[in-house]
Amino acid sequence: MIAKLRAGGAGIVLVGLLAFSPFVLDLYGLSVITYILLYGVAAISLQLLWGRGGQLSFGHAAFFGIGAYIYAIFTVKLQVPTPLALLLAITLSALLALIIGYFLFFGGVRAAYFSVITLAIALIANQLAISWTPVTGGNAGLIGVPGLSINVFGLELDFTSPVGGFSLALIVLAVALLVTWLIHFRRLGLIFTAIREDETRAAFMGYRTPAYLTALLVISVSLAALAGAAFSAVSNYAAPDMLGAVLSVEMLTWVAVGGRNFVAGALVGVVVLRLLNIQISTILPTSWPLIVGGFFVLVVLLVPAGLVGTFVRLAKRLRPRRLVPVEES
Amino acid sequence: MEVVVSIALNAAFLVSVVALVALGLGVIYGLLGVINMAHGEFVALGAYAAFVVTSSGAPYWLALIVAPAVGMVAGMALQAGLISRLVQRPLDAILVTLGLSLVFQQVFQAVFGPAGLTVPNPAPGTLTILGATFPVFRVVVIVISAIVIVATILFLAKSEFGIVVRAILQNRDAASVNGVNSARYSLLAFGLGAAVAAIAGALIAPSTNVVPYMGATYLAPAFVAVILGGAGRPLGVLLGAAFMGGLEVALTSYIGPTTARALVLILAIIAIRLRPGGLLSEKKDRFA
Amino acid sequence: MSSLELRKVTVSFKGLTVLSELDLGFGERSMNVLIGPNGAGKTTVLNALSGAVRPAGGEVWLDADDVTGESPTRFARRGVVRKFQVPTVFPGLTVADNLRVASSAPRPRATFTSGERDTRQRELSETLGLADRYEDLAADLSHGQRQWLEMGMAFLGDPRFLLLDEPAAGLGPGETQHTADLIKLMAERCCVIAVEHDMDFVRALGGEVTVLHQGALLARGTFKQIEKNTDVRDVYLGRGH
Repeated sequence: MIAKLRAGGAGIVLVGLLAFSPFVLDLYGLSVITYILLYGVAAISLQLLWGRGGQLSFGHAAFFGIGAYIYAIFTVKLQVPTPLALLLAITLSALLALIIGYFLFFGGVRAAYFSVITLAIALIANQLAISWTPVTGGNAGLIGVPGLSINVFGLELDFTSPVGGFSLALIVLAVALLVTWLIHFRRLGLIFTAIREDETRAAFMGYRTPAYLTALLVISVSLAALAGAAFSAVSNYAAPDMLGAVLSVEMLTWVAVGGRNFVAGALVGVVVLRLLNIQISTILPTSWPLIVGGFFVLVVLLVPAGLVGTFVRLAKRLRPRRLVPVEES
Repeated sequence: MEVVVSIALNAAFLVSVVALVALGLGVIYGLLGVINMAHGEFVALGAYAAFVVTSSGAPYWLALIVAPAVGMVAGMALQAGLISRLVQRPLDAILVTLGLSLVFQQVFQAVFGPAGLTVPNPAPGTLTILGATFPVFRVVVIVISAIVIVATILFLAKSEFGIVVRAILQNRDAASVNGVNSARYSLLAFGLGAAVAAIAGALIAPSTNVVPYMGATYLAPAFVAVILGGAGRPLGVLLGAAFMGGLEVALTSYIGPTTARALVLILAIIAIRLRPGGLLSEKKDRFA
Repeated sequence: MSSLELRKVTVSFKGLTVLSELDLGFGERSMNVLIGPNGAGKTTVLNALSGAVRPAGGEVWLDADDVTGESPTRFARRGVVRKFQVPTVFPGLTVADNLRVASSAPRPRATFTSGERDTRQRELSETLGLADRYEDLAADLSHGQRQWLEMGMAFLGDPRFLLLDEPAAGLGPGETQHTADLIKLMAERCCVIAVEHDMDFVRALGGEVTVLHQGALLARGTFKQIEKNTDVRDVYLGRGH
């Protein structure tokens, strides 16, 4: 119970603090934060599937990129109003996740095989984006993607300005935090953890585990697609590098570095690596992929719990022990 | 008629290469339980080795010895240096190889540059087979691939090394209790898998642009071939490779390469759904 | 009265026939113990009764339904709950959470509200003897405590049939008695089918004893009757407890 309130409180405080950003940061800083927040949601979506469900997706950037492209295509090519395009991005991606879940999870595909197939999906999405030029704009992608503006029932919300874009990103983050909080602290989260711990055992209890895993995939993909669509709306473009293997590995790095077992880990990982990226790009512009790869290898090898994971472990050790009577064996 | 023969020959060519890559991958996965995401980079390594050999004036055929040698060394180094530390953490091993794949690609790019390099065709010209014209070199590739595949399978089936490898595959603990040094065999198996992949790279090099990320093109179909075939079953893997490669070539002439590849992957996923244990297994093996 | 039956069930593994056209039914008595020498096929019977193994021949019937070939998940949803020999609880979850997961599992009988569930869980943890470890990780429990936790989890699934595979395995003498008490308690609410090797434990449980030998039914009766049965003694010659 306490953990539930503490986590919820932390989330609210975080969002609250971030809300002050437009007042304290210049335009450049604001745009950095905006992108960090959106990447952060993508990372959270991956952490949900990986840390909570135990299924490692190697191609999660595909869902982020697909969200971005759906939004872009519908607004630029089909002149669909932006809020509708956003909803379409989410629902169509959710549908895709449902199909993937049906074929993979219900087919008994797990762990390593699942990871490889998600990578294949990412590669294919990337290839499609590059080659299907009339629809996706090919290698250059789509530009001139409009920002989100809602005009419904007299309610006017304009997210097109830099501050508006930031607000959109913040709302998306709040949504993601709410979703993960709801999952984590209800029975559903417990069931996901049980499935992750021992799927066979959960199945023997009567849980239809493929259905649960598919549901988790749908939630995860929807969040990623939401982040991607928002990204496209804020950055006003969609490009193949939003879908590919490099971004997928980066996303894995964020979660691995931050701590794969914690939502906070996903956020910490994004912040650390994005800031690192910005610093290093000024000095060694083309070496970033090499550094990401190398860093990733080192982290997985030496610090598998990630920053947050290691921090939590240390904190537990430093906390004074409870006085417990000695147990007889 | 020539169209069919032409498609069949092209399919045989692609299947040979994918089969080589898949075989190496399957050996590594079957024996070590490690999905080597950097396997494609062993292919690229072989291709770059061929480039180095030919551009230094030596005949191309030397590359067919240099490439697997380089591959073997690289594979064993990888196993000894990194993978062996992750025995308890198979998923993390996959992650590490994924990161390494990126690193290797970047290193290739740094050393050889991003632009495509060419390896000269050592057997130019075409043959006419049953009315279809087909490059001589591709025939050579098919033949050499077949030889390497058969040799590898025979080696695994009959040699002492192969038998021990298969024993470890069945039951690692029992094997070690019997005095088998799993570490040494893991080392050799990884080296073997990498060497075979490197040969594939050397064989494909004259037919294509040698670029840093060329490995990825063969990795995905090879993986799916391994999944389709069932881990640790070389024949199944071959069947899987035949499926992936053959279908892709057949479809490419109608719907273009990207769509063909996507379609083949979808079909493969459906196949996995229907036969989770691999193409050669019985229908739906149960949980317990 | 519920019944769970194997009708002419044949199960084979890789050419070896473990059960051959076995007719075996449970449900009349609420406490059943299945014994027999190694290789008699006891665990296979449990597997067949819970859907963990699909018979090569014959049928499995639950009351008036032919449930042959259904998945273990479906069996569980129908109220046939299986507890394994090796305690498989969720090590990363606390005792409380383990019980929660078990009590949320889909089941055929009436469900409780969540408030009733929590009270029921607490009471159960006391009965199990785990009240003081309620918030501890299952991974930190002793072997015996894990067995009890798993039995509690099986029980929370509100089973009609509770299949226990060697519940006394690996337990110390003090723990064995508690386990027998727990099982007897559960037999008040459902039909228990337990596979066991420990003869003292079998005697303590009471109920109907079924003896299996080489995949076929050898004898059935109370423990006293079985004890005196010469066929059974021949088969068990040399086997202590």
